[in-house]
Amino acid sequence: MVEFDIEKNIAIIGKQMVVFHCNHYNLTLQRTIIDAIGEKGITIQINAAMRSTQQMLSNIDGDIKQFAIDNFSKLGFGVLDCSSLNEDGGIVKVPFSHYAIAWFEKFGPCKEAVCHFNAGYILGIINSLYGKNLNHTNIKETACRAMDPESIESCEFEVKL
Amino acid sequence: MIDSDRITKELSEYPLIGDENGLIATFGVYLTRMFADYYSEISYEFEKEFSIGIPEEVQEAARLLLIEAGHVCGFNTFGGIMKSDEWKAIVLPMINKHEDWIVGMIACINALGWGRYTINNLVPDKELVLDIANSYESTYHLKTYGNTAKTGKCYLAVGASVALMNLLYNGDITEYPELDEDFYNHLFLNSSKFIGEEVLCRSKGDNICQIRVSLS
Repeated sequence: MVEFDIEKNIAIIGKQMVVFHCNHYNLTLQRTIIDAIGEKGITIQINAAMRSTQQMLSNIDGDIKQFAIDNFSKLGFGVLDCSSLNEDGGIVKVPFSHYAIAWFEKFGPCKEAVCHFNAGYILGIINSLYGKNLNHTNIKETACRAMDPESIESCEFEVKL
Repeated sequence: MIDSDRITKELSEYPLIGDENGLIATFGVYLTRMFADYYSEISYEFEKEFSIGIPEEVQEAARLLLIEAGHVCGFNTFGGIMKSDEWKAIVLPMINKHEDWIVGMIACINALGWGRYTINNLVPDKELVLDIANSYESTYHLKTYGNTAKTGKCYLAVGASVALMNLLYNGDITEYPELDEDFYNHLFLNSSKFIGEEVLCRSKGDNICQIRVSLS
C-alpha cells in the first residue's frame, strides 16, 4: 500500500506523500490553529483532510470505499465504520479515533468535538464515491470520545446533504 | 560507526501499521502516517488567516507557533525513538561518541518520509546545519504557491531540528530522562536553549532547504 522511495526518503500512497508524525504534534498543531483563529481553524482542517483524501482516492483502482476504510486503520487513525453511509449521507462511527484518544490522554476531557481530520476524511470518501461536492458544512461530529471516554464508546459523525 | 543507510532501511521496513484498533502505539507515542499535504495546507492556511488585519510585526507569531509545534514533535518523537528498545538494539551498538546520537537520529528521520536530511555541519554543543532534499513542506509550498516566498517555509523541520539539539546538548537524552512537561520547559525555555533558522528554502527559489541550529 505504501511505497517508500529510499533515494528521496519519501513515502507515497495514491500519489500522495505521507509522513509519520506523533499524537503530540497532531494535537499541538490542531489546538494551536484553533486557539489562534477559532472556528475558521476547524474549517481549514476539515476541508484540508477532505481534499487530501479525495486526491488519494482519485488515484486508487478498485473498491475505493474499502481501500479508504483499510487505509484509515493501517495509517493509525482508528477504525472507520461506514456501514450506515450511503449516497444520501448517514452516520459514521469511529470507535478508536487517534485524535479523540490522544486528546483525552494529553489534555483531558474536551468541551467540543476534536476529530476534525476524521470529519474531512469521511467527506473525502463520500465525495469520491458518489461524485458529490460536500464540505465542512455537511458534516458534524455528534459524539466525541474525547469528551467522556467512559460513557462515549465511539465518535460519531452525521453527514447531511 | 553509525551505518546510516542500514538504520534508515530497517526503520523504513519496520511494520508501523495500525493494530486491531487502528492505532500505532510505538516509541512511547501514537503515530499516524498522515498526508503531508494536510499538514502543509493547514499550516499555510492558518498563517494566511492569522495575518489578516494584523500588523506585519505580529504576523511573525504564526511562524513561531508553527515552529513551536515542531519543537513538540521533535521532543516527543525523537525523544521516544532514542529511548526505545529498537534504538538500543540497532543504533546504540553503533555509537562511539556523543555526536553519534545526532547522526543516528538523522538516519531515523530519513525513514519518516519527511525528505532526505543530511548533516552539512555539526559542531558539538554549538551548531547543527542540516540540508534537506524533498522536504514535504517546501514540496507543497512550491506546487501551491510557487517559489516566491520571502522567508523559509519549513516550520516543522526547523522546530524538530531545534528539538534534536536540545535533547542531546541542552538536556541529555543519553540519560533517558522522562519526557515530561518539566523536561520540555527546561530544554526550550532556559537560557542555553538552541534556536533554528532556515537559511535556504526551495520555497524561496533555493535548490535545497537548509536549517541552521545554534545556541541562542
